[in-house]
Parts: sequence; C-alpha cells; structure tokens
Amino acid sequence: MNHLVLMIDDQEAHRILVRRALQKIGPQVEIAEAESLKQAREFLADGNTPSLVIVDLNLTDGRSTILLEELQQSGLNLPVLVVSTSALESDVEECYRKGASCYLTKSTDPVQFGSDLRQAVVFFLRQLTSEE
Amino acid sequence: MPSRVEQFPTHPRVSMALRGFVVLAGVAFFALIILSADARRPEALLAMLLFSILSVAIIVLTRAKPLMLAREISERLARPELKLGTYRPTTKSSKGTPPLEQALRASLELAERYELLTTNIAASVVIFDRDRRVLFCSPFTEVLTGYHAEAIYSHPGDFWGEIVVESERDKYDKAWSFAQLGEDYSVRYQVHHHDDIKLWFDTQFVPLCDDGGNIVSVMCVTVDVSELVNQRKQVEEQNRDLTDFTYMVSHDLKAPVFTIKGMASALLEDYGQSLGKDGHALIQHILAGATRLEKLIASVIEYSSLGRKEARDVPVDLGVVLGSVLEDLAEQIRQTEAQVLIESKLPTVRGDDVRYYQLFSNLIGNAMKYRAPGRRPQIHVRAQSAGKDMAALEVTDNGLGIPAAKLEDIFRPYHRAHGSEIEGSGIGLASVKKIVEKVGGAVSVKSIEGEGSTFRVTLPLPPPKPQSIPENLRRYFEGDR
Repeated sequence: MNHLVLMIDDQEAHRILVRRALQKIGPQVEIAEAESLKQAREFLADGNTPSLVIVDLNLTDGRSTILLEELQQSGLNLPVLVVSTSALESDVEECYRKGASCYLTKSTDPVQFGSDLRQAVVFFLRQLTSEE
Repeated sequence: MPSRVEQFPTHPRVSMALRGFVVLAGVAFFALIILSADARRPEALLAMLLFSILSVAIIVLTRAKPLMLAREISERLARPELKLGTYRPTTKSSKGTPPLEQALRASLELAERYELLTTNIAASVVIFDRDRRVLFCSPFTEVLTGYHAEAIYSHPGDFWGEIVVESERDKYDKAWSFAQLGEDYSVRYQVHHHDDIKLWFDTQFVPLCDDGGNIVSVMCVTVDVSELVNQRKQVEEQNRDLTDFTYMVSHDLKAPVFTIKGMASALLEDYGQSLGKDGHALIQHILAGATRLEKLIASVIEYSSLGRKEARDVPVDLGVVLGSVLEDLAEQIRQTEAQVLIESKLPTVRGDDVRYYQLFSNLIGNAMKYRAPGRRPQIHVRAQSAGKDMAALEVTDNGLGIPAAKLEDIFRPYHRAHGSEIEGSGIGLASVKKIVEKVGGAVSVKSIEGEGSTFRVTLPLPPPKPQSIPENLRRYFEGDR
C-alpha cells in the first residue's frame, strides 16, 4: 500500500533531514515537499491526496495552525503531524486544540527526532490502512 | 486624624462674672446716690465700699480676658500635634510688652511663615468646602493646573473634579469619600492641564474639622509626578521589549542549530567510512559546538522567561524542593563524589516552587561544577531566620571560590568567574538573583579563592495563619460564598 506524505517546511535543510528520516520507512512512502502554506494549498487543490501531512509550526507565510483549521473544516480527515523547535506548552496545546494528530519537537538529538518521527508516521499510516 | 480648626473659646465664666459685677456696681452706685444725702450713715459707707470693690473687680476682669486669651494662644502654638515644639517668636519683644501682644505677634509671625510656605512651595495647596468648591488655592495651583486663580475661585461647580481625566474620576471620588469620613488619604491620578496635556498628580487629602468633630473643609496638597510616572512606564516597556526580543531571538536560533546537528549526523551516517578517524573527530567537534550553542540558547530562554512568566505565590516546603534537586542531580553527585549535608530543618517559604527548584539546582549544581580539583565537594545547606517575615538559606561549598575582583559581577548575566576553565552559560547566579529579588529577597556571597564560597539567599515566609473566627461571625470575614 503506497502512501503519499506531504511535508511542509520553509527550511531546505530541515526538509532534507525529514526526507532522510522518512525514507528509512521504505519505498511504500512517497514524499512530496512544499515550502509554504501557499504551495501546500496549491498542491492539495491540484487534486493530490496525501495520506498524511508533516508541517513545521512557523512558516514564512504564516503559522500552520491556520492550515490545521482549514483542513479541519474541509472534512478531509487528514492526520497532521506538527513539528517545531519550540517546546512551549502553549504551542503544543494550541496545535492539539486545532486538530493536530501529533506534535514533535525538533529536539536536541536529530537522530532521536528522526526515529520518533518515523514511529509516528508508521503509526498513523497503519491506522489509515486498518480503517480502509 | 482630622485637624482641628478651632475657634478661641469665649471665656464664659469671665464674661458672666463681669456682667454680674457691672450690674451689682450699678446697684451700688444708685444706692450711693440715694444715701449720699447723709454721707455719715453706715449704709452709705457700705455702699461706697461695695462700689469701690466692684470697680476694682471690674478693672481686673477686663484685663483678665486678654490675659487668658494670651495664655490660650501661647498654649496653642506649643501644641504637640502642631509639631512646633516650644515656639519662640524670632522678633524679640521688649520686656514689659503685654503678654497678649507677645502672643499675637508670635501667631502673626507663624501665620506669615506659613503664608510664605504656601506661596513658594512647588506644590498646590487647596482648601475645599464640603461641596468641593475652592475656598483657597495657593499660587502654585495656577502653574499646576494651568488655570488662573480667578477662574478657579469663580468656577461654579467642582473645579478640580472636572479637570481629572474621566477614567481616573473613580479614584478621585473614592479619595473624597474617605476624606469626608475624616480619613487622611492620598491618591495618584491623571489630570487635564489647561494647555491640553495630561499630567499625573499625587494628592494628599487632609480633612479639617471643628470642635464638634464635623468636617468643615478639606485641604489638598498636590504635587506633579508626571516625570516619575512616565519614566517608570518607559523603563517597564523597555524591559518588556527586551525580554520579548530575547525570547523570540533565542527561539529563532534553535532552527539552525537543528540543521547543523542534523547535517553533521547525516555526514557521519553516509560518509562515516570514508571520513576515517580524523574526519569523525572533526564532525564530533561540529556536534559539540552545536550542543554548546543549544545550551546557551536554552539558558537565555530560561533567564528571559523569568521576566515573562507569572510566578506562583504558594507555600513551598524547601525540604521537598531540595529533595527533588538532589534526586535530579544524583548522577553528578555520584560522579563528583560530592557530600551534601543539610544541617537544619528547612523552612516552608512562599513563592513559586518551580523557581525555587531552579534556584537550588543552580546553587548546588554550581557547588559541584566549580569544585576544587583533588577535593571531594562538601556542600552544606542551612537555614536561619532573617527577621520577622523572611528566612535565610545558606549554601556553603569547599570549591574553587571566587576571585575578589569578580565578586561584584558574578550575579550579572553572562558574567563568568571561571570562564576559561569551566563551561557554563553565565546565567545560573543571575537567575538566582532574579528569582529572589522578584519575591523581595536578596542574594549575597562570601568567598575565599581556593577555599570555597557561601551563598546566602533570603526568601519570604508565608503570612501567619489567620486566627480562627467564631462560626456565627464567619460570614462577615469570608463574604458570601
């Protein structure tokens, strides 16, 4: 079962690191990248149907909580994983309140972060497969 | 306490005696006239005697009134609550000047002195009647309000109340209601100056009452505190801006640190083989540098959050706090073979438990970090009382100590006493200082280089428990729940 994962982050280096982490899951995960909320919206509007979204909390053209709200309203039922350097409780709370499925801090250990991210992605994708 | 504006009593006894004697003298005089036909009759002699005595009495009494008045004035001037001490008039009166004249001179002089004071003081003195109309205003009132005295006097209503800024009117009215109950009250509020600027005033209300205890007027002494208030606001704003800025910047700095670490790890992962031992070492240095950067950023965030976040105000058992600190530092204690001795029972203080954890974590962590090489760290913690509502805590170590030249600066953020030898962020002690100063305490250090240091912090004790209230009166104290 192939899955399309949409990854949104304005920093190229971070996109590279996330891609590296996800690639280790296996060939069944296909990764699409977007640099901004605008690009992400265009991607979705083009008819693409990702199974999962990974998004950084603060992007150049806005806070991704806006996207969270939009996705909630669209009824797409898309699991969204928010990643951020911020470990602020208020940020975490806000994201969960607005419908994020998961919040991961880009913690001090990138290797650990990668492995945590993989675990989360696998978990949610498995949920989707079992739902189908 | 309201001040008394007293009127001199009218010496009723003297007046009555005087009237009585005048009447009697009149009677005696008429008796004399009737009897004077035969001056040798004993009744005539009696009448003459009576008349003479009464005349003398009348003359004495007419002097007594001024004498008593003079005494009254002198006693008033010497009254303790006027705080004049024994008032001695500076104009020396020559011997023989009647006492009333002396007393009047003294009070005139005092009146002149006070008039000079109210005319020249850089404050407004205004006396209002109970309807808030202006009875008197000192010259500086014109400067302070921007209105001419004539305009102030002739204003039909509550002049002062009308120049108070609308949003501050409540504060001003509240002060007035206290004054009308006889309470001295001071209040700070904003006012519209005539020239269209807003000023901050500090006014002291002094109610004045008569003999019967009724408030007859209120005296208000007002100073302009605009500069003080504006400066304070500016400083607060600057502080806030700086704290916000520091916080934001440090968060933004985390992203590139993640990149550096991530990419260095990726290099190791993909090219570890071809890099060889030397290449590995280089990459480890990159990672170490990034980690150090991360720690610095974290400490900046921590330090600036002390200014941003609200602190709790609850009872905190320092024994429990110290227990957690020691538990969390267990690894470091084991590695350094440190001995921690708590010499006395630690008190319960008030404040924020998380911040006090940080405080002791910093102090004890430092004691181990800055240990003397070759010596097992020995750390003593003791508690003392420091006055009625503070407790003092001392943490003593046998570590490196602090060079005398650096003692003054170590509580400043980012200052390090042993920066070249030992890694650190420089905000540990600065955080301790910020934490204690926010609760009204203080931190100090005694140290001998090479021998060790003692850090002393004072923290507030919780307020004493309220006395138990009888059940039937409880609702008056706790209100409706």
